[in-house]
Amino acid sequence: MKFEIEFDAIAAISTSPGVGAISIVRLSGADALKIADRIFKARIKPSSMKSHTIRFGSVISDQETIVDQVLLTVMRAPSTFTGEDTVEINCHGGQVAARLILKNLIHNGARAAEPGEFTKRAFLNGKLDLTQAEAIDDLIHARTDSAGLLAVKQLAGHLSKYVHNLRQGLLEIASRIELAIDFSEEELDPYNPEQIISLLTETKRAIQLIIGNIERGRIIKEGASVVICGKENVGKSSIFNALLTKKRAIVSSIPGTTRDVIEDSVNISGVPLRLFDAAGIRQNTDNEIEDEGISRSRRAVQEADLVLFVLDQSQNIDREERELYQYVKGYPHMVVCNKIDLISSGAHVLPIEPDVVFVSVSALTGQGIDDLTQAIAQWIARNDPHFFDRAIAGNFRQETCLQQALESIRLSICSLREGNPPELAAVDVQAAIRSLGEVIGVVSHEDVLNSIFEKFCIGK
Amino acid sequence: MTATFEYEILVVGGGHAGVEAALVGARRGHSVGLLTIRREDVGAMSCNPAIGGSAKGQVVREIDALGGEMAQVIDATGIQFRMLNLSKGPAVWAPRAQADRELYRQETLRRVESQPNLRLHEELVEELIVENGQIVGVATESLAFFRSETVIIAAGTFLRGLIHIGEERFPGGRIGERHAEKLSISLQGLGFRHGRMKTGTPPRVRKGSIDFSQMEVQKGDVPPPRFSFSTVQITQPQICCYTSYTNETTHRILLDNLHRTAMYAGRTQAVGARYCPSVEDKVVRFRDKPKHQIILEPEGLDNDLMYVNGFSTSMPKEIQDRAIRTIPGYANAEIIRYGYAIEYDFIPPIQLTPGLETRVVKNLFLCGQINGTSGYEEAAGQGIVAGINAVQRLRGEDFFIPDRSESYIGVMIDDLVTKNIDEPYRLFTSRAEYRLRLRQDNADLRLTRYGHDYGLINDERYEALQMKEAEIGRVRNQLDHITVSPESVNPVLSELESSHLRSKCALSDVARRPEVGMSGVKRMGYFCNLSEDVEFQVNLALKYEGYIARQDQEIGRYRQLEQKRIPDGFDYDQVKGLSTEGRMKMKAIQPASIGQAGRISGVTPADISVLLISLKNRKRKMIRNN
Repeated sequence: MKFEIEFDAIAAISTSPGVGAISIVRLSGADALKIADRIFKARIKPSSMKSHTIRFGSVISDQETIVDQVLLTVMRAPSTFTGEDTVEINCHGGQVAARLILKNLIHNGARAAEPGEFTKRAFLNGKLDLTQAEAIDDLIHARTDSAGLLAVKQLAGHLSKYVHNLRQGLLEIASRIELAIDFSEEELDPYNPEQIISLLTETKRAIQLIIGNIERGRIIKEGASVVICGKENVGKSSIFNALLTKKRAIVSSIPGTTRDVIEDSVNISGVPLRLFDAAGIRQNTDNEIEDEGISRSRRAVQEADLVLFVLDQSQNIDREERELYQYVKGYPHMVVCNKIDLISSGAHVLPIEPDVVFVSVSALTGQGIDDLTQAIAQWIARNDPHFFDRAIAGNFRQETCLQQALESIRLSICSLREGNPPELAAVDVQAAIRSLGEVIGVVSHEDVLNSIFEKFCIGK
Repeated sequence: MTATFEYEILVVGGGHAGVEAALVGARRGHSVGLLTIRREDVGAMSCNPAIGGSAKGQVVREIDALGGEMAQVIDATGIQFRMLNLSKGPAVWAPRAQADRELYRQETLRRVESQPNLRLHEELVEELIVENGQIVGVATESLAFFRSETVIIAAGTFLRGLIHIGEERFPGGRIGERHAEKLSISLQGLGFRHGRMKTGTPPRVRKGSIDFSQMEVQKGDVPPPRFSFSTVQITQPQICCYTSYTNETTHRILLDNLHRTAMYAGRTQAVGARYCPSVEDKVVRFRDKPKHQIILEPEGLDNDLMYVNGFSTSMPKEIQDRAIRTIPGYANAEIIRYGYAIEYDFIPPIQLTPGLETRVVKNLFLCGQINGTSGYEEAAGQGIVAGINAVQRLRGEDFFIPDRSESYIGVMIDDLVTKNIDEPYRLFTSRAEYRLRLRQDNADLRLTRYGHDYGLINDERYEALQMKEAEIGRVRNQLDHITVSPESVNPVLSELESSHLRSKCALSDVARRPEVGMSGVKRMGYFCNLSEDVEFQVNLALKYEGYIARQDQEIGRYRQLEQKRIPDGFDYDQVKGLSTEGRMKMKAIQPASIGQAGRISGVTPADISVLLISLKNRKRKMIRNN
């Protein structure tokens, strides 16, 4: 059973998804400052900062690359909302930067917070009125915070059903391993690591499938992020506006007008799309502000569900565009050929990847915009007629647990392949069972033994 | 009353639990009385003539490290020793031995009778005498009164034992022996809840009636692995066991006669263990299985009886005869003692504290099969802990509460006092979360210091252990700090068919290669005087390093939760917001720590959160009031 209250640091994006100038990622727990030290680069470490002070600096990834430039606030226990050491990171708005920072925190030892968990900790640390016992009880037992929608609940039910089945499957695998260890004296199916590897591999695929389906669910619920990118002045902002059917981005013919990633959302065939108008991804400019915008655009491309790579068909393709495409083609993308109202340069020699959707539009006249919308809609559904049926609702915490289970299974397979004895693989299989149990909230040590007693004839 | 005796510790029952408990008390200088129905049955093996096995073998080694008896007795009387699971990793190796039943019993009795401060009485205990919630002694059938500050009950399967053989049934604690009826009633009268369990034993056949040529021979290991860390050599001659299988004919006979057993005819509601089914259960539950393994084990060197392992049954005698004779090699088998099932009262151990003292009656301890366990090793493991704690109680000192991360004994006792045991409890390695740490090879490293703390291990043995521990640490540490060059080690690597080094590296990196290990390191000229024992430990430390580091992290978290104590007599009714099930379970079990509370089935993480709040408030209130 897991209840590491007071010990482990929890983290979550505290601002609601949507457009905003900033997003806030909150981290709370005994190790909050230690974890913040690992990801924050500034003149002073968070752990050395005074309580209730704020600092400018960068969040860096493990590869030492800058994730975002942020303002970081340190609030030390006990004068905080949760009563624990708390760090708040104000980053750039939208979900991209915030999600990256959250991932980074989790990678460095924090745990994705359960819905309502910050409030729960505030209770536990005596920061909120404790006399209202009933209210506490309700809150502690609450499963979701705001998402009380029936549809979401039904979808969540799907997830727990799938995960329950997967966990049963893993218990059976574990019982085969334990059988080999605890009942080696019985004349039972001999221990066969190859068989166990193939069973584990099946489970691994099934978990991957579920993670993919959660991804679908996330797209339905939160929308897909679509980044419009291309060389400057090919009309990215015009396409952005055409898709939004309202003027949002500043459109001008001066290259580099869009210096930041601009975000807005639009609904295409029932799925909210978060559109990002990215600054041109040029190499170094002399302009510092624009450089920052460019690096953020690169990140937006990395994190995007879909990239619309925009070309100006009236202009020749140049080296810069080719290089840019080299970068983009590593991500899911479409090529949008803009300005078909103008005379074609006739020089579209861009080595486009096979199977990539190519749409011609004129953002100015609106010609082809419907085709583009349709192409995006088809892409969202992955050309899969069952896209909406397969989608599962899962929150970030659940996805993290599934990822952990996946990693544990990968380790157990490696261990068996290397010829390690079964008790080592068992450690990882048990970890995977625990991770899956956390998704659905079941934990029991007896499960493996029960599974053995049911399936195998034991005892002399 | 015809006689009155007075002791500091009184042990009721001379089985594997009782003997360990009694010896602990006497060795620590307290006067101990051991009450048993028949002197000759002290140390009797009621069922299998074997000690050890997976998880159980580890327990025997733990008992030895704590200063107990079982390992030494089996080493002195074992007639076939094997290390199980050798094809797997050392973490799950487990010693197992066949005992000469008669020698084992005699050796145990000899040790009991030669122990100063310990006196054996042939008595049947009928009543526990309690004053003001505290035990003061027992009264026996012979109308003797035994006064004692502490009492340990290790009554095994004797409490209202009822034996079934086919349609026959009769009271008995073991075949041919009386049961203890009034003691059970006395316990219930004191407010103990009881349950009923059953177990069974197979027939014993005459050696001369068996045709061994039709069986596979199973030999012991050479040299035989030892149980005790202090045994130098196994001295008994070593024998073989013999394997054969049941067949369709056997199964048909059993299936045709199911209605003639107490279990299938519904004459008992007692719960048996799923891992130890009777042969008829196996045939019923696994109908698709065409055969079941039967191992014929000698009961001793000069014993004409053999134990038919795998053929536990409560069929009528004539069916036992007919069924067994269908097995190859048993065509003319003569059953000397028939298999039987026995049902008995047990006291659900959630009524105990983790020190094995009862909550209802102070200074009263229960250990062994009375607590719903099965197995000699499980019983002995509890016995030594109960013995230590009775002494601790006499001296007014803290109980010894072994921990899940340090021993199988700790896993077992925590399970017993935390989970609702509803079938005979047996240890499995899979019950231990930290299995890679709880190995048979390091039981001494894990537990000798406790044995020493509680006065059961002498200074000499403890110092030797400390030196060994330091040596392991030193060698492991030096491996990281010695740098080796390609020129210096490549020749040896060639001999070992290990790939060559291209650049300098730490010696530990070379040692970690499975084909090199510490023996390879020795060939390179390092640590040439390393003892076999230390070499083994260093090899293991290298091999399991990553995994053990992970388990150590988990152990750290586990201990944090164990350290959050829940005060005795904590009032769960005062805590608002607990789930009904969680509240009921915690009230019944009275967990000693938040960690233990979390292991109770039915207690949710939300309950734990609510409990934590409440404990914190309580503390705050207490500080305020002071």
